[in-house]
Amino acid sequence: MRVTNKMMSNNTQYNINMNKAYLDELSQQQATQRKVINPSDDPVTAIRGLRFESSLASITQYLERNVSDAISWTDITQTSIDKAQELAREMSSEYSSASSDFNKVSDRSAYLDNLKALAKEFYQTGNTKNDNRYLFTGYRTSDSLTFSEKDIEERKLEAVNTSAPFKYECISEIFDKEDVESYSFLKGAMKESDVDDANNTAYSETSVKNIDVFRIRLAYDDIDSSQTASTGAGSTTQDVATDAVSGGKVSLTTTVKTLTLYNENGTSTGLGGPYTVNLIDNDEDAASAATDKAVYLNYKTGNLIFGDDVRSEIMEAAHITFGYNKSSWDAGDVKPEHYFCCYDTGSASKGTISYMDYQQEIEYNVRSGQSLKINTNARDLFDLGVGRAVDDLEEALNAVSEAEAKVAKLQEMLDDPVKYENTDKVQMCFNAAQKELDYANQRLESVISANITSSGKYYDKVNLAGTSCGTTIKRLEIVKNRLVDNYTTVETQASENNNVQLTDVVIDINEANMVYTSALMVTGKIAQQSLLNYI
Amino acid sequence: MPSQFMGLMIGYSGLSTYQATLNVVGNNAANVETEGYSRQVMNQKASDALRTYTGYGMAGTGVTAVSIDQLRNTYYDLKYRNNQADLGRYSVHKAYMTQIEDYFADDTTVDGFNTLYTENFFNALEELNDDPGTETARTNFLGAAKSIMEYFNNMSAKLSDMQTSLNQEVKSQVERINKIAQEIASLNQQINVIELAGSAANELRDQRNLLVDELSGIVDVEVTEVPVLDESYTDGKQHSLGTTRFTLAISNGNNLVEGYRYNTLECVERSNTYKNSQMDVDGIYDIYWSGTGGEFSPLAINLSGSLKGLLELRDGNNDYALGGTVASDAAAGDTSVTMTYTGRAESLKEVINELNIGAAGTITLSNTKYTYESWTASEDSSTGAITFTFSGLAPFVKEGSATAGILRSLDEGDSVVVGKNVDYQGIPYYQTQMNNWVRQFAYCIDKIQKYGDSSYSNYSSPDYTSNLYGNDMTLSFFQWKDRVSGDMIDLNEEAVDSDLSISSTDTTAYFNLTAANVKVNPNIINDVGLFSTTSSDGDVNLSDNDVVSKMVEVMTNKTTMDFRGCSSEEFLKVVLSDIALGTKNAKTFTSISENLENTIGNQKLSVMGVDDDEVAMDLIKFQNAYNLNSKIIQTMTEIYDRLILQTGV
Repeated sequence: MRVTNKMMSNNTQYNINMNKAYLDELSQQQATQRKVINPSDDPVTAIRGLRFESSLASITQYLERNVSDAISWTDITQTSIDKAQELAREMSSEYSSASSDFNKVSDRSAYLDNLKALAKEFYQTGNTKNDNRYLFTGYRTSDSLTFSEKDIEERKLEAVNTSAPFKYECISEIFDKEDVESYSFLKGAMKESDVDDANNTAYSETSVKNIDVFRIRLAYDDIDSSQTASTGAGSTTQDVATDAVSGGKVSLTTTVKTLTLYNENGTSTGLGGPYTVNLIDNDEDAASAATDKAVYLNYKTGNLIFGDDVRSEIMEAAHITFGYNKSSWDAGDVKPEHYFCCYDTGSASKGTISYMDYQQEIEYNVRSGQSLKINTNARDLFDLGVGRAVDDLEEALNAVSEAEAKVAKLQEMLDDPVKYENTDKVQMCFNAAQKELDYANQRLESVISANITSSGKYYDKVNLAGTSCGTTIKRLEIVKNRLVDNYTTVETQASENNNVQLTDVVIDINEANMVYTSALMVTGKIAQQSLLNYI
Repeated sequence: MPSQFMGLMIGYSGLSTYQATLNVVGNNAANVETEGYSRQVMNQKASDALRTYTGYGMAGTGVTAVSIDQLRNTYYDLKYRNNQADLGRYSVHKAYMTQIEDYFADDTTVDGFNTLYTENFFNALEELNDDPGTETARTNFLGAAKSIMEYFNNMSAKLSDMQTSLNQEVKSQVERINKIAQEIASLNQQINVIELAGSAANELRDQRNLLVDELSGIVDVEVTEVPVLDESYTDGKQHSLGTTRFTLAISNGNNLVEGYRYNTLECVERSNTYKNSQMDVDGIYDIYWSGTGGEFSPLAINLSGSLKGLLELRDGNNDYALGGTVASDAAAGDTSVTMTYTGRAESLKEVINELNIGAAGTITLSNTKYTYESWTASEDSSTGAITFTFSGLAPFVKEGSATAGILRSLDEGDSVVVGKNVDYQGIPYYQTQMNNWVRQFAYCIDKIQKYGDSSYSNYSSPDYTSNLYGNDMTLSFFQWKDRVSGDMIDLNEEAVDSDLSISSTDTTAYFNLTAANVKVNPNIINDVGLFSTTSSDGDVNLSDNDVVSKMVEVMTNKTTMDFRGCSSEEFLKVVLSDIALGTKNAKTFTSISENLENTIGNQKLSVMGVDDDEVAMDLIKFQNAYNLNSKIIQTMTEIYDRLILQTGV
């Protein structure tokens, strides 16, 4: 074949260009440290690289934000639970010290004040925040656990009724038979006027009676004397535990002012009730409870009182529901929406606010496809019974103090036969007062012993919440470690996929450069020479 | 006995021939770097011998220069031109695909879809999921959503710009074809004038070949050159007149130049009403033959050339225009036709996701092209069959309008293509991919926002009424912006979901939404409280995130949002795979063609190229020959001198 100079220069130009292109590619690899400059150079590696990048991005998000936020949340939760645990223990030991020798308790009111302060502090712990979000109130992270002065003042500005800015309706409590307690109250105790009139009128010891009945303690005292529901706020329906037989949810309806009994599967068939309660403000009005088949609600003390007939029906039921309204709230009271289904009808601008959910679980995505519940609900930790136990004690102590005052006054009268000459009558009154005191002391003792038991239970509840929070923290640590491992692995893989081995590139560049230089040299030689050089 | 002075004449013939040959060599040397120059040689032969009537018989009379011929191999020309067509096509692919590849790039230097979606949007969504109540998380999320949509707006605009420039280039290529046709026709005439006189028009032929070479890069060419016969001879033999008839055909035998006549092509702007693809820019050119008005298409499967490359990129929809078969017989004159859809989509919803037809457009019914004014589509709820009805049918005309009604009757089963099938992943293809993603994404998010559920496996009524963070949202999360009026238009999936039918006038339907016009509802951007994070009372349950966690699923769960068998976050992986493979192919084929061009070019040069050494050698050779002949004359002179002046004197 005939070869012309042009052909040779074409070929060498083409080859030199190829060498240059290769050299350029290598030098770009060296400069950027990346294997693939354009995806089309190596589509498989490039697309794989994208996958690694997004994995790394999501691991970083989980590791640096989600998991670390979750850890900070649970750490603070743990600290608050520790504090609550401390308070619960202190209350428990206060009750114990009272039981060992109650007479040593010199200043009952100081004792009581201390307990009240502890209880208040206990619930106050539930207002802890993390990053401006309340920890124990489920999704309602802007809503504190207890009422604050600010809440009440703010609501007053737009309340339907400024004297009762918050009006909760159909606070729906669900009880079981464990919640039924024995309860006793005095009937026929002397009134202040009877004591004053002791010299003239004898008071029969026999009319002072202790009525033994049963009660269910509501979560709140001082509830509304009128239990009528606003439109649409008269009842709630909620799901409770799964039915063991059918596997479906058991749905219970709660109606205002009505005690309803349900069996395991959520029906009322074959059970007693429902009972529309009788509203009373003095236990004595429930005296007939022991014998009649009715349920009484003392709206001042927040006790549902009933006799044995009703009790035996309740003992047959699996779930007992009762709804009530409460409008009187003080700062420091625990808000019912975190514990019960209820309606708040107190707001003029918002209308009726429905709270139909109190077991709200905040879940953080901690890795792709895995989420962890990080919050602890107040209901699982801050039992409303803690405060109510103090109320019970206060009531019992008041009864003792009242009886003691009567006894002391009558004793004085007895000691002064000159002034109070009808010693017989005074003596009879004294005996009646003494009986009242005995009953009161008896009741105090039983309240203290009940409170010792219950405070142990409350302590255990806090403890359990602490343990479960601790478990979450442990799991988060494990997830965190795994994510760190994961990150390192993916990062290594990504680097193997995307980055060049510097040594390889350097060697390749040297080789390519050598080839290039020699190509140039040869070309130079060829291009310079022609026949003309020799003629 | 020959003439006494014959020796002198022989010497003279040598001198003049080599003088001329040296000129040819000189001409070759002068054109050593001239593009397209074919090496010329002097054709010489020994002059006719004289009968001398002597014992030694015939006597040679010297040399005759016959002609100056060019050396050229037409076989290599043919090979070279075939390859030029491929090179032209793949170079265009390479140039534009590399740009598209750059547009979609996402690496350490450029933030692309992955950075915006799988990183920024995902992170914002996760933070919203953890803390849906705070304004920062909500604002952050909206910002991320907005930047994803801006990414698509931007990408779509870039691709449209590219389509515009491709369209301009189509026009300039067509103009170039016309110019070349005109020049070749004029050269044909000049060549024939010269060659009729008996001499070869070497330089003009080189020029013509060069023009054909250039043209072969634009479109496939086919050259035939036959001698023109002199019909006046009756001896049954063929006698050439000395002239030739040069015919140049392009793209499967369409004559561009026939002798001195040439045809031209013209670019006609397609009516903006009847676009082939919904996303096409305004003023797309269709190419017609100026004379006959017939449509010129260089897209046939066996063709190549840069014009085809440009059209493939401009119109390429991966051979997947909406199409099907005629559902029931139609008579000539009918103005509407129903089509049974035969594409790969399994539901009307899926058809809408990838729908790329305009409200009005062109449709090919059994190989005849029509225009339609509107369409409706529906899905049979029991059989799942999807049908489209196109109304306002009229024959397609280049300009002006035609009487409504189809020209010929149609039988059930006849083919229907809406727009045009172009078998390349060009700009309409990538626009459709983006539209598909954007429509699905908007649909899922809107539906979650409105009903808390994104499944569209069945078109059931809403799962629950909207109950949102502080507000009832009656508007969709995403809206589309009307290009003409600038209005933001609300989207509502019920247009399809409720009665399984849709029409081109449903402005709230998702086929209106494109990568170019999708926007986050501006009302939501102005008030971050307007979108939903929970299906419960968001005023109270600030941290409830059931709606957000469903949105998280849109990103990662491919049963919630299925983009070509992958989850939504894998958009770039899927599309970039297409682009990377397309670019890689373009690069590979370009380099193969370049390599071939080099090889065939060299083969051509092997015949027609001028070689330095050869020229130098020729120079010496012919100079020597010249010198020799001059020596002959000198010797003859001396002989005559001896004979005339000294012999017998």
